[in-house]
Amino acid sequence: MTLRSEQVASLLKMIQQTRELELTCPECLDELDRYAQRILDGTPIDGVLARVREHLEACSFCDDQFRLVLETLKAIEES
Amino acid sequence: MAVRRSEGEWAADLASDDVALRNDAMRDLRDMLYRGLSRSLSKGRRVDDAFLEDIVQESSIKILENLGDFEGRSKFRTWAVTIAVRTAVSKMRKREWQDVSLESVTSEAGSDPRIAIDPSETVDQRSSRSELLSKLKELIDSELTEKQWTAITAELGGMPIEQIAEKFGSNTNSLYKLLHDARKKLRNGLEAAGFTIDDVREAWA
Repeated sequence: MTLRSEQVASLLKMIQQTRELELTCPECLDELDRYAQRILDGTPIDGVLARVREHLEACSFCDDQFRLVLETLKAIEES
Repeated sequence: MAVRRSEGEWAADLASDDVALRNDAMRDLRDMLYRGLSRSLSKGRRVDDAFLEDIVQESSIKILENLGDFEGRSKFRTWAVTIAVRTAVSKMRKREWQDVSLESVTSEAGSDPRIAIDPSETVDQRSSRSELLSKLKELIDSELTEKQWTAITAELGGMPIEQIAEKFGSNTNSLYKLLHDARKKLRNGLEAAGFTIDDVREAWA
């Protein structure tokens, strides 16, 4: 397969962001409620939640989902 | 407007032996999720009322079934919304990608990847990129399995990992580990060849 320039850039970015230990998507999503609550409360992100943050920085699919959680909570609060 | 329940009331009312209280709580839960998701999902997404109702119903059942797992590590509302969003996203992605084949997003994926060169690059840029790409191609050929390369190209083609896993007849955890292993091989190979992560980033700036 011939990759387009932007796909090569994406691949290199993926490689650049790779860590030795990473949470998988399901592992990240299992902790997302706790992570979201810390963000909303402004309390420290540590332990496994730091790994959640790392995963969200590298995985746009999970990050989109996290943002949707925050938007939904905000919509409920405002309704 | 739905009655606003306190944190402590949600879990207790949803688990109550009092049928009327439990039904009220379920109604309030569905109402809360509907209010939230109808606004958040409407932004840039095509979600009709029927689909939304379906998501709310399915999420409510999941929340009830998993009530015993709620440990108060987050607020109930946060926990419930996280389950609802996860349900919604999974259903939307499944709907979006169910008729898209792996082949269509990976094109002629095989063990001989080529990378298009941008004709607008300078000679120096082209030279440093050429070295990097040459090494990357070598690593892809020598280090990655065909399955790993197919999975990577599918991801680069925009297919979510959950859907790639489904096409492979695998699960998301296993597929993620396959991709992670592939990325580590490429990263380690580039570093062993003397390319730092900054080199990698700058070559594509």
